[in-house]
Amino acid sequence: MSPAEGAHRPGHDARTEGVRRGAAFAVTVDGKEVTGHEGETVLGVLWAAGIRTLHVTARTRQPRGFFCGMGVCFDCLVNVDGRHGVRACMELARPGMVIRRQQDAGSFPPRGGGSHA
Amino acid sequence: MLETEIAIIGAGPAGMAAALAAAESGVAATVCDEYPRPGGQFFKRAGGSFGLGPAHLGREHEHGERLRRALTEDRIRVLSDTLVWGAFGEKVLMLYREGRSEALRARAIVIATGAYDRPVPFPGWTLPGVLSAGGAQTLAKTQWIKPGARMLLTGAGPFVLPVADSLLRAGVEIVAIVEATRPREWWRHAAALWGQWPRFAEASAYRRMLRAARVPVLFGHKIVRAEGEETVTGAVVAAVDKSWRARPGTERRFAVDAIATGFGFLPNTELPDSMGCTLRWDAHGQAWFAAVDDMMATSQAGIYAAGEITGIGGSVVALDEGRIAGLSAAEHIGALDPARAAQLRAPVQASRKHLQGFADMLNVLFAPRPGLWQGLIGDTLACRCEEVTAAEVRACVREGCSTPKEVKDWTRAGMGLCQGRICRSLVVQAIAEERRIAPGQVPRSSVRPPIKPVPMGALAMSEMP
Repeated sequence: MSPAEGAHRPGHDARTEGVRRGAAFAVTVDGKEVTGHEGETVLGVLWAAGIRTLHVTARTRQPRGFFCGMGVCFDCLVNVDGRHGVRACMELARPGMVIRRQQDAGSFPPRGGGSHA
Repeated sequence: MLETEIAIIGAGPAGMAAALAAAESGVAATVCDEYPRPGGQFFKRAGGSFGLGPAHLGREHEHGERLRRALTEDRIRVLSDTLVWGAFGEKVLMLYREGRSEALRARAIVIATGAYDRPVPFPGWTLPGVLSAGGAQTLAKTQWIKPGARMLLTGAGPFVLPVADSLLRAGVEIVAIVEATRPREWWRHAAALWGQWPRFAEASAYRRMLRAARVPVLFGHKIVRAEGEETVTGAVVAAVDKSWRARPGTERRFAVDAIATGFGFLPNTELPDSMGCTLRWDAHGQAWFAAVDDMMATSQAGIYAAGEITGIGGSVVALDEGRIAGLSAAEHIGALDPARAAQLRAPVQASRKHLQGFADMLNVLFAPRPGLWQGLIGDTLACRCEEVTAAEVRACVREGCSTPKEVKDWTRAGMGLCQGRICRSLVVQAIAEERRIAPGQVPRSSVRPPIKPVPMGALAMSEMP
């Protein structure tokens, strides 16, 4: 099915127009440069850039975005500057952050892949 | 170890009101809050680096700012970005902040940890772009980032209206608000509206907002499926019967890139539970809440609870409850004499009773009905963290598991990082349905610290009480 017209497009900025933001800076997401602004969370920076798959699940390899947006569900976990399992919704983005998307839910220790059954 | 006279957990409406009441009584209070700035979910706002105009700010904005300004008074210490991960011994709280764990000893505690959106499963509910209503609102209101360009809101009750307001202000196109109840079901509760005039003003403001933005409201419908591969591309809704079961043949599809669901709330009761406070089952809210008396005292001496963890009442009730709890805590430590405390509490208790009456009507009217869990079957996940399907949960219940603990040991549902916050109510529902008992009869699982994940390194380095 094709995405709805005018709806989500990767690379399309989802920031509200007409809102003044803090200083712009660059972060990298899986090695690719993405723009963030002072005051934005890691989730905000990723979502604004059209990056909706924040991790891929361990057991069934399904894409996950964020769900609760308030630190409850642990669905939005990403690797930030080498720290595994950081809640993107609770972490402020900072200049130069190295963000990597995880191939699992940030279990401790990280699962190598495949089934845990 | 940090010391304080009254420790307050949560800086939402209830926690802020408790801190102000304590300070007014001449008591030093410490407010611990997991978020970057006080306000909780209702008064959340963007940080100082955002430049917002009047059109961006909701009706509650000024009130939130007044409360935040009041919190800067000398006797109140606010610890933001601070998780209370457990409670030990005689009123010692364990905090996780700035990468380390430390202890806070108090003489009285007010727990005001609030609530989160009730998770509701349906096919596609784990797709990126399917969001809780509160989560969608947080991204729009604190980040000014659109959760979706075209969104559908589905739920029950008036709490989706402030969410719609925030989304519209952020520039989201809302294709429909899909409400499970029908207006004709509302009228038998009309008597409870008497005297609640400010609520009418709110309702008409929201009606004007929806009309101006041309947002259609579809009554007597609910979400049945989210479509898409990598992200949401469509929402399928259907008409529902009286028990909220979808009527075959009534499906309608909307092309959207995000969906927000708001079917009421579940309280964050892990802390009062782990401190030994008695919880009560609420048959309408279908959840365990902290049991309190009219002084907001829990079953444990010197421990008070306020706001949504004592029953869903909204911000106006939470503000009253927080004030009552703060006064009671000040009385407990001897800063207020009993007669003065009672005198200060009396008008707030009357106001709380009046406002809770209205909230109780909403809680009954928009209470979840059995069809809400119609999607809790087959391959649809019950536990998102450990990817356990509804069929797997039901199968192990049929094989003899009768408690959430047994289901967890058998299937891993509830063993993930959210510690059961998303799946527990669904596991309880599955057990209740399979065993043909009421959800309130399903045994509760015990809560153990840390109540949210804390790095082992921080625990290893921490001072223990």
